[in-house]
Amino acid sequence: MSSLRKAVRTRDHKERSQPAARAKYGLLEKHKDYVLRARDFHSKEKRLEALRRKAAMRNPDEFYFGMINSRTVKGVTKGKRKYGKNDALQAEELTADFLKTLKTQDINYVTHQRLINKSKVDKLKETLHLVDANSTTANSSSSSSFSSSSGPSGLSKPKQHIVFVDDKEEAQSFEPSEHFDTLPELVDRTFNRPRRKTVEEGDVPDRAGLKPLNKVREQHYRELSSRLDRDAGLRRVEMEMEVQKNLMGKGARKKIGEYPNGVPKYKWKNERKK
Amino acid sequence: MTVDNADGTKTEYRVWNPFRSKLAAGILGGLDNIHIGPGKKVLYLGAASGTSVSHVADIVGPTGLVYAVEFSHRSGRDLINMAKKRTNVIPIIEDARHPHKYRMLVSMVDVVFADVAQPDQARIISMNAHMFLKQGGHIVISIKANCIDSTVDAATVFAREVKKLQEEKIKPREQLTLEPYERDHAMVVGEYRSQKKKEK
Repeated sequence: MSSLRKAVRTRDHKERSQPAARAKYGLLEKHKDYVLRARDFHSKEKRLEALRRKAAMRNPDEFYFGMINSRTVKGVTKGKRKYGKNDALQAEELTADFLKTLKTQDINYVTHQRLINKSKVDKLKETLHLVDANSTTANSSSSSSFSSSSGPSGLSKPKQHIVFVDDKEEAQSFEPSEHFDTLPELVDRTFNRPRRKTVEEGDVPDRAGLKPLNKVREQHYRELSSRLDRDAGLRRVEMEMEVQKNLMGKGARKKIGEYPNGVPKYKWKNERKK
Repeated sequence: MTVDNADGTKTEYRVWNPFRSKLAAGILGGLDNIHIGPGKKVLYLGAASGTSVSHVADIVGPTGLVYAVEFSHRSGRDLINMAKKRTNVIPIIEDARHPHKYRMLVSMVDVVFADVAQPDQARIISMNAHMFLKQGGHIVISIKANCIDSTVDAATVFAREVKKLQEEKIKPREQLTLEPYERDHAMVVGEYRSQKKKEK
């Protein structure tokens, strides 16, 4: 019962506000505000004291390599950067483990972007058939002899089309436009190569009608080529970050060269696992 | 993509990706004749999940027929699902090395298409041709040089395979490499037990 009576009797707690005369000092400070302010003040006081003590006990012979390696550019100190290490400033603040985590997250992001780009490349490739990518080298070979000419060896070999005929005479008198039953000027075209009958019937679309379509296609090809460039760039960045991350790890290593895209290649010494 | 015709009907087109399908790559590469046309019966070896088969089925139309042979059960499942929608496809989940196992299902065919990528593919193809291909029928095969012999030049592998086919009464007609869609692949078109031309 008494507790209930107490509850009824309690007045509203009214907080004192800043008197009008002192309004220029802002809100009235309460005890909790004072605590925060005092704590902040003492921490600063302590830091200053620590610095003073450090200065007083300074070793006049103290030496770091940073003192001779660093230089100032327009009044800003720049440390000498080594490959794979971050700026001296950042490296001091963040531990190696934390940096490594950041690096992996960066790598993941780059990978993610690269995969998005790749899926778009695939989609474009699906619709663009690269039909006029390279021309054919037409060959005829009689069934008896198989000394067909082989294309030059390389990454993108030219297409090779061999037509087998019955005997040597036929091979000598071979006329591609005759064989494919098409106009001589269209023989080199591999796709949509109309037969003579189709051309005579006039079933071939005119150039004017194809113009807008060609424009769109060209645009797509341009997009594809820029996306392929982007892919190469992202791949390079990804590799470089991977190398940096690995360099932050332990182990004796040696630079053994460069990848074709300019990323340095390292080799780690084998360590016996116990 | 859908295109409106002049008479109010709609024609739907779908993309045939030459990077996925060897047959599409062959057509875009300029093969003279793939011998697959409306009303033809086709034996398709190495059907995989049936993407190319669906295109072949669309080409042969309702009067034609495609027998799609695939060994792997996993891709066979997709093949069967595809065949449910296309009545002119007969899926066969069987090893193409043993054509006698599916001889009850397959009639004589006009064309054998093979994309099996096996070292003994010439033997597989000729066995199937002897069993099911009519006289003067055609084979269209894709050869992956790496799958047959990775130690020699691709052109040599193609020549050897063609030689093997010749020994099995298959007369080569055309050979086309599939750059830029595939590396070291070739399509070979041949005629089975070709009759000598009468005139001449």
